[in-house]
Amino acid sequence: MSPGEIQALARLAGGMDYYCLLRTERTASLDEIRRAYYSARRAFHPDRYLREDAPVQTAVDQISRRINEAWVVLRDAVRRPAYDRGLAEGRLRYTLEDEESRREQSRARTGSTPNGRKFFELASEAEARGEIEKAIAHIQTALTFERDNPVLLEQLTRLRSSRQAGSDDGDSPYAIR
Amino acid sequence: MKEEVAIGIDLGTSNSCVAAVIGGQPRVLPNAHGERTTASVIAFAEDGSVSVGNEARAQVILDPTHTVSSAKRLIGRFMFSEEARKASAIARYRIVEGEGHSIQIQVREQSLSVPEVSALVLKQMRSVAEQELGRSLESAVITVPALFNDNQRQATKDAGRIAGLNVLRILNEPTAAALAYGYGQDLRAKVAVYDLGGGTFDISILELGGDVFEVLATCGDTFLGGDDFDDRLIDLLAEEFQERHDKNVRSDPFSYEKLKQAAEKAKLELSEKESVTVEVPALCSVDGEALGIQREIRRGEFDQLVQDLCQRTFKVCDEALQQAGLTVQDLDGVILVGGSTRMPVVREAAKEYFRREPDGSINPEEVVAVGAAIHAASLMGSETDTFLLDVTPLSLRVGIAGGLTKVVIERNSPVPIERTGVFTTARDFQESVSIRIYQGEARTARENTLLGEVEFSGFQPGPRGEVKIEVSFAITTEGILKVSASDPVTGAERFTSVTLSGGLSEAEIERIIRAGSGGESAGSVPTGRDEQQGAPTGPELTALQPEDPRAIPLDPDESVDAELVQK
Repeated sequence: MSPGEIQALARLAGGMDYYCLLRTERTASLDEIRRAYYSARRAFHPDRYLREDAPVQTAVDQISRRINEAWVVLRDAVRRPAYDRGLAEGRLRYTLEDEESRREQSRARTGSTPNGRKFFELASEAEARGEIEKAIAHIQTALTFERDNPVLLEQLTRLRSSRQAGSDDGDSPYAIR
Repeated sequence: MKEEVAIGIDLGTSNSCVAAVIGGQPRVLPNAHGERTTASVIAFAEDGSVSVGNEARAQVILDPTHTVSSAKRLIGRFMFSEEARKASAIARYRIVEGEGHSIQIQVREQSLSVPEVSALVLKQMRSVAEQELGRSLESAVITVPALFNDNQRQATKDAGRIAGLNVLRILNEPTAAALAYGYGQDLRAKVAVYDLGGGTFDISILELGGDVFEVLATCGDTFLGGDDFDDRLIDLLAEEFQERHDKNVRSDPFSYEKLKQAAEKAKLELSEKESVTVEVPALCSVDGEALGIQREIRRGEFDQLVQDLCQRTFKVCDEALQQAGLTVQDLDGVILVGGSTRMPVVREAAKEYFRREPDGSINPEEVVAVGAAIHAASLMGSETDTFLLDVTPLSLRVGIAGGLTKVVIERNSPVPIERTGVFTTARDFQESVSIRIYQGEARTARENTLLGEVEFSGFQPGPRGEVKIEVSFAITTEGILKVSASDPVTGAERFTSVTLSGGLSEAEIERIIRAGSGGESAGSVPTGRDEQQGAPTGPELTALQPEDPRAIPLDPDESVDAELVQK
């Protein structure tokens, strides 16, 4: 990319969502996001621009920061759905406040087992891909490891009702999604 | 035209090493005595001359008050830090408090900041390289322990500039080692870099994928190194001496230095031999009688003395693996770095922990400098042939009410990175808001390292909670922190960027460079610190300079006047 294009992109980056920054789709799987991330890191790695003028270096640094900001959110099974919900309301960035609610959520999960955590994450990933049935199956598996975890139970209820809403969708043209 | 050469410097606590890539081959550059590492010791002679290296180390015994060693332990730290207290108790040179709670080292008539002292070592390494290559050199990559915080990195960078170097990058030592290990080999592997130096311990877990070197996690202990192994021997010898002669040799600087050097020598010899005899003929005199020590130490006995130190490193390794989401079985290789890993007890323990033979092909004292040189060459070249993706080793935190902190950027996040938050006033009609910034893993402010404080003012005061300031926290590729603020409504586009400083101000560095080098220019040195990028449109951000006593409040429980806006 030319120095001019980079500086233009740095100015535009503020108005871009994370998917747009990584040049990937909102429906992308974790693997697709990972690939997009590496190619973006490579394209905008600050080391490649060390011989450019200071403004170009600043621009590359700004873009790289945003790329990593996007990656740590989209790679995370809890942060990504939270970000997606905010994005639907027009919020382009995952902020400290979002992180605070995530922490509270994860605090509620304290005492969870490694397997419980693993399947909880698989469920969130499946949900992010729109595979609700799979997500429900993963949550049910997670519940076999920690049967009383309120967060898992709540997640199950939520997924079931969203499946319900999904099937209602076909029946009623007025259903709100 | 000659090919441009940049050097890689491993600025160690005890020893430093310099390397460069010449004609495509990385090479360690020996000093005039043919030694491939140079002691990080500086001796200030009575006639005003300064010597650095192994000759200086010999001066430690003869003139301990004018010989400075282990300055790296103090770099980027405040006078009230644990390390400074420890050093003041042990070091025979004078440590005094400078402006803004900074540490100053007083030798003869001069008072030097720690970056100025480290700059003397860097200057020496630069001239070692210049003599060996027969040309002048300007650009360098300097390595730091992965666990170094923002202030320590900034101070190291300052030291480089004071030494007249164009510091291309500050690079993490384990990352440099991994680069030297995997460079040009097109490896696809997960490796652990176990780095036990003179004063610090780092463990990094990396994934190598061809030309990509990605750090998955880094953990460490900045209070654990080879010096602690020496201390165990010193304690043993000193206590036995006290039992026999009822005299504490540790309280006498001369005796202590003698004992320390004997202990270090014994430790080194025990890496080669099964048993050594420590002999210090005239350690001290009691009632006019010169008393000495003669004591045989077997390797097994030494191993027993330091076993818990080895185990401490593996606790840190557990943490790093967990952060990387891996187990020992997932690793394809283990690299041992740092002079302390020459000790058989460390190698054996590492082999047992990682359940594999560590890579034997690398030189633990040179590999970091070699990696730094490879990176320097890559940065100078027209084509970038390696991509380093590193992480921030410490969580970045802001102080909140009750002496607690809140995480802004969690540790092991890839760098550079940014996160924003909206802050507001905690009291009605407050005219300025200050945010204290910490690095560390504890919830309470007190247990983390205070980096500094930023103050925002110039906004229209209003009732509590009504003023909103959007603060952006960014960590650069080198792990250096930048904070900027804007009005979330109007000033979203423009930022004022400042670097918090617990060390030297830009003006001081300029003054030192001018005074020290007698007009010798460092070339087009990038400033390292961010200049203002456009005028602020939101609340004005004031960087507190270290001379401002408010900059570093000593009491972490002092009331906090900013609050994070909750959703």
